[in-house]
Amino acid sequence: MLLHDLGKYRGIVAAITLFLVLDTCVLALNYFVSKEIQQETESVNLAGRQGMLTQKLLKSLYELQDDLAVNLDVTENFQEFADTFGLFDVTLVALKEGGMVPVTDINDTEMIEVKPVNSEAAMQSVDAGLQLWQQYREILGPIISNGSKQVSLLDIHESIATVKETNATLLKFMNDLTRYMEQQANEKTQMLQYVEAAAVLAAILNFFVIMFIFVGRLKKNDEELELAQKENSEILSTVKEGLFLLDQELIIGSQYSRELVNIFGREDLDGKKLAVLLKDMVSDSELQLSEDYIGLLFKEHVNENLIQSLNPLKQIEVNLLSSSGLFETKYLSFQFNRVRVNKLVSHVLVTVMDRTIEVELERELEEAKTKAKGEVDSLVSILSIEKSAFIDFLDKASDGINLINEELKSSNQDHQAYMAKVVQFQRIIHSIKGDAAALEVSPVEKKTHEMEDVLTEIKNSDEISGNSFLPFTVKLDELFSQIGSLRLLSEQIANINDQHSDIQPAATPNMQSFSEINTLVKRVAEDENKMVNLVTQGLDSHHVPPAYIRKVREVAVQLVRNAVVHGIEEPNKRVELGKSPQGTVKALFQQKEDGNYSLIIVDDGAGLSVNRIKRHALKNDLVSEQDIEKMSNAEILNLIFQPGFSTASDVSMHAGRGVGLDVIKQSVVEAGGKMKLSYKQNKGCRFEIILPGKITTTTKTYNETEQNIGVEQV
Amino acid sequence: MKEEQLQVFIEGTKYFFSTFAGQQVDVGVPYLVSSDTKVAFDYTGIIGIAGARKGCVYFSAPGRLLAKLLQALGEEDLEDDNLCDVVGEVANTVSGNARRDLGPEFVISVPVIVKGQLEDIKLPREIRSFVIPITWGQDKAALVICLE
Amino acid sequence: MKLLIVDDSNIIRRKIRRSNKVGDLEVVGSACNGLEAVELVKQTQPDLITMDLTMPEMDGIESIEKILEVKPDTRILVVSALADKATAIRALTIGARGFICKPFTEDELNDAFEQLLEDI
Repeated sequence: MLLHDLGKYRGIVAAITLFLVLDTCVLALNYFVSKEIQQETESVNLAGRQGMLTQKLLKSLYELQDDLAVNLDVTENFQEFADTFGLFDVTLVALKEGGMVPVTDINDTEMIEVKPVNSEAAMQSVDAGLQLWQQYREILGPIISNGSKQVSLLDIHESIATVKETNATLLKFMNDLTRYMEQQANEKTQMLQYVEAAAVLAAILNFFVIMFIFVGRLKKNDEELELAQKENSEILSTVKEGLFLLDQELIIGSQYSRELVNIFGREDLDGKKLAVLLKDMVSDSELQLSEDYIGLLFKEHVNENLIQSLNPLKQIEVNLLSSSGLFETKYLSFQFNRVRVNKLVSHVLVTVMDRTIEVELERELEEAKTKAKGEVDSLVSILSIEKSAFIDFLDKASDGINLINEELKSSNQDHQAYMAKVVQFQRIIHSIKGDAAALEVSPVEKKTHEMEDVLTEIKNSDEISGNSFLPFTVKLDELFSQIGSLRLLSEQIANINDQHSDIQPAATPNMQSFSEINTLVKRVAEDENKMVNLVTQGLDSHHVPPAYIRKVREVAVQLVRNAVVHGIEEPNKRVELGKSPQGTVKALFQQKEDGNYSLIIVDDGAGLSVNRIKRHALKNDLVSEQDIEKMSNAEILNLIFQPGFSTASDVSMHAGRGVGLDVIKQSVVEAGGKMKLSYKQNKGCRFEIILPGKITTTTKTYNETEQNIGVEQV
Repeated sequence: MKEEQLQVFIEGTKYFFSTFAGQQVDVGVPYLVSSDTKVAFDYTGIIGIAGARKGCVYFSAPGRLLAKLLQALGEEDLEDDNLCDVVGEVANTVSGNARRDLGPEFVISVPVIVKGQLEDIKLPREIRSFVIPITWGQDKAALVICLE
Repeated sequence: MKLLIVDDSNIIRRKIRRSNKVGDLEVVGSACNGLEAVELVKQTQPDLITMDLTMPEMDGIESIEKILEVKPDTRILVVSALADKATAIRALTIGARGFICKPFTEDELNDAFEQLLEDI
């Protein structure tokens, strides 16, 4: 590893290297100097031994003299003397010139190397010693070379004399030498100590350098790191996306953004597998797909940009349970990006975005579009209806729905009571349907028609239970929604109209309350394949007092529709009967001389047939066969005002529910009015409704009151 | 709101009483209430619904009914905790039934038990709840279904 | 740069041929099934292949395996419908380099080619 690769660790590595080099140098120095000191110590010992040898030499001479005097064998002592001389000589020469010296005695094969003395004083001592030793060599050398056999007492005497005389001086020189060498060795030891002390000092200095400079630097680095981490965690705690890293094992990294916790509602993500995070949100197959997809990002050959469309978690819907027990639906978007370290993919960065708000907005927009599209139809009809008439319709429908709902709520649990309710509901729903048809609010007309189907089904079932009403309640809810959105729509239109009041239709608005009857007749006639001409008279706000507008319209709508559906025959039937193919329905409103109001609806259709009424009454179980035999024609005719009576042969959207006249009767009776019916077979039918001139009540309730109906056959 | 879906919740409730308490309930005529009206008795077990439809379904009953229910189940301890448990059990059965019958597009939670009024539950204003009156013996309870 | 187009749809083949970027490439052939594709790879040694995944005779996955045996440095672009994400991911796992989803616009195709040729 090169030094410049080390980055911020360069300094510390250099310092440690310096420390090691210093240490090695001191150790090497120590080794060499110690070795030298050891050698010198040995030399000192040798020098010391020289002193001892001078004494030993003298001693051996004395012993030799003694041997010779008593004529003993001299061999041993002579040898001793020669050895001592030899050892001294060798050692002294080695001290002067360097060389090998036997360790113990002259015959020892183990040698030590001696270096020449190098200090001034020691050299002087050696030189002085050598000078003196020269005398010894001259006197004692020949004796030794002659051998023990030739030695004479005289020689020894002479030798002793010389040695005795100089021995002390030689000893002194050797002792001086020893002292000087010791001194030198001591100096070296001391130097070594100084060097070592210096090295330790340097090491300590180095240590402090490391301590203060590099620890300082490390601390700074740590602070920077800490700051970076702080910034990092600040970013992670404020960023709006859920961020985390995944390694190749798809394990979540230790750092992730706060938002991730918010999104998933759990804290313990560190070190968990991705699967743990996702397992409650996506299906197993989606999870597998996601893992495979992330696996692709770890494959270097795959182009990251070219696989994004495969991301299975681009947008997912998840349902997370909140503490209140309700589900919270979130739309999450996962984005995966490679994280490269040294050009290799090391991790995948996952960004999780909560797109709930956007998705919901999109959805709302989509719903609004669909709704708007559906509303266009209604809108067209609403625009053509007078506002007050439409509001009236909505109010009435709402009242009807609320009444039904209240009735549902207070149900008693027996078949009879249920049956009564069904009949009551039929009447209310039929009335709403009639209005809807008249106003051409087709969605409501369709819905109420469905509701009538449901009610018929309930009525025809053998056993009515509370649960039987479930489909009806479901439809009631739907009707509720319809009326609600229509009301909203009409308010919106009202706002538009208020803003553009100058372009409000100038046509007689009051006339419009009744003009819908025209449209109704056209539509119903078309649906029933009949040709009908409607003639109206007095059906406008000049003639109809405001308090009666709704009532008159309601009754006129039902009766005119009945006339078209039940009265007027199909064109070819009419032609067969010798009538014009086009039937006529007249609706006349006027105030009579007695002050009462009269609404007359006349058609030139088939009239009523007692036999048909009988058959239907029997078929629908309105009366028993025995009872009907006893009934007068008028009584039989009165049956058509019974709830559940139907005279149309098949059930169509426009009639045949058998509640039409029932509703009218209720409505008239409720206003304190009377109703007259006259007819002539194949000639037509005439309804006259008399409403009191003095208006007493305008309740919108549907409560039953006593009958006040008259029927006559003309 | 589809009738069949409502029926699933009703069946769940009926199933609980007929199977565990061995006595049928009478299901009354369903009616509507606005979503800010909460039909609550003393104890209520709520399950959250998400997925194809969102909202909640809850079974609410008076303590007296629950106490009788506990007795019918052979439980003698009629303390508060047990009453909570048993209302939770009903909700649990309803939840289980719904999970089985409504298919995977419905996400159905485990029940949460609430004592007293249900003020904390916020439902969309524009939708109405279906109230299914339940009568068991002399006592009345209700199953309320509020789904978008 | 030599391009081989593998797709059983004539329309797609023509659409790829018409792409701008393809103008810079030499279209060395087109195959409408896997067997043909492998044969053409042997003969023409293309650098780039656009690859459909659902084809008669030999499916895309098998074809990719065989092609990469013949010429391992071939850059394969999977061209497939999104409906089968799992197969596309499998194709990429075994060695395809990129994916674009059918139907694609000319720009999308050009971008994809550019991405694939980036480091050549």
